[in-house]
Amino acid sequence: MRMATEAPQIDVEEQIKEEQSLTRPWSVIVHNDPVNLMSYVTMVFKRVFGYSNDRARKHMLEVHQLGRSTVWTGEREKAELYVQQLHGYQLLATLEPSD
Amino acid sequence: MRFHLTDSGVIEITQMNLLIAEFMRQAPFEADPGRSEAARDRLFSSPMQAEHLDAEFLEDWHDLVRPELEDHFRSANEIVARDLVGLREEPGPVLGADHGDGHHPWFNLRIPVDHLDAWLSCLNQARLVISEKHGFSEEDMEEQLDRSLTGKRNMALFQMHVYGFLQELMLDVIRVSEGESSQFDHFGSEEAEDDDDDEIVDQDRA
Repeated sequence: MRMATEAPQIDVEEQIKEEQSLTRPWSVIVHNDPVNLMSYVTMVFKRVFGYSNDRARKHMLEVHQLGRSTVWTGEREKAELYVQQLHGYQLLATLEPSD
Repeated sequence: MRFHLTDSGVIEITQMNLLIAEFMRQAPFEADPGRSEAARDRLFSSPMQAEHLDAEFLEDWHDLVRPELEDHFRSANEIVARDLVGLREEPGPVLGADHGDGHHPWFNLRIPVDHLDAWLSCLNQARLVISEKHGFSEEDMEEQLDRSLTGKRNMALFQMHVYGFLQELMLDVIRVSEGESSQFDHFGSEEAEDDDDDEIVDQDRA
């Protein structure tokens, strides 16, 4: 005897949205705050992203002078991990879709 | 105050006066946001700005990431608290003639280099919590301190600066360990015994 089965309902639109969310690039942004030391922020960028001293310092100065810096862009999952690591150093960091 | 990295990988902080030693002792407690919502919000800030909010992601962050961050911060503070058990008093400079035959107390502390990350975290948390509790702005941070240090607010600001200075010394150890040059002349050198190398304002002379 064959049991009748129902085909799963696939919301194609939702699936496309999900795929786009995962494949579109996301940016990690670090925001300025008056407390974190510049040398500390530089160290954190070197540690988390493996940046050279010059690159880490460049991003630190952007944060300090412009209020924010886009420190990394790439896959969303990795962006989430980087933001978590930056929060572990008490930096103000967010992720957002890259333009 | 003197800050010296020994060959055995231990940082010796010596000749701390009573005020600095007390600030050190308070660091793990100052790092606790307690009931301050502003301090808590700062330590555990949102990973997304308002215009990009993703409710599901934020819920996962709150349930999964935030407890990890809390553990991470707590663990660092516990390491610092254990190191501070080793804070030792010794006789310092002689008190003036008006004060009899006594000595100013000096304090020493040894910190394993392996604990530097924990110290940096604890001191940073303390600075952030103090700042949020007192509502310090960027202007407050950059202003010259009132040398009389009267009032809770001034003292809190001074405490933040002391913690910041200790962080700078520790960051210097990390820089040197990574092959960069020290930013502090006396650092790591037993030859620099000159009093002019003292980096902290001696509160006794303030």
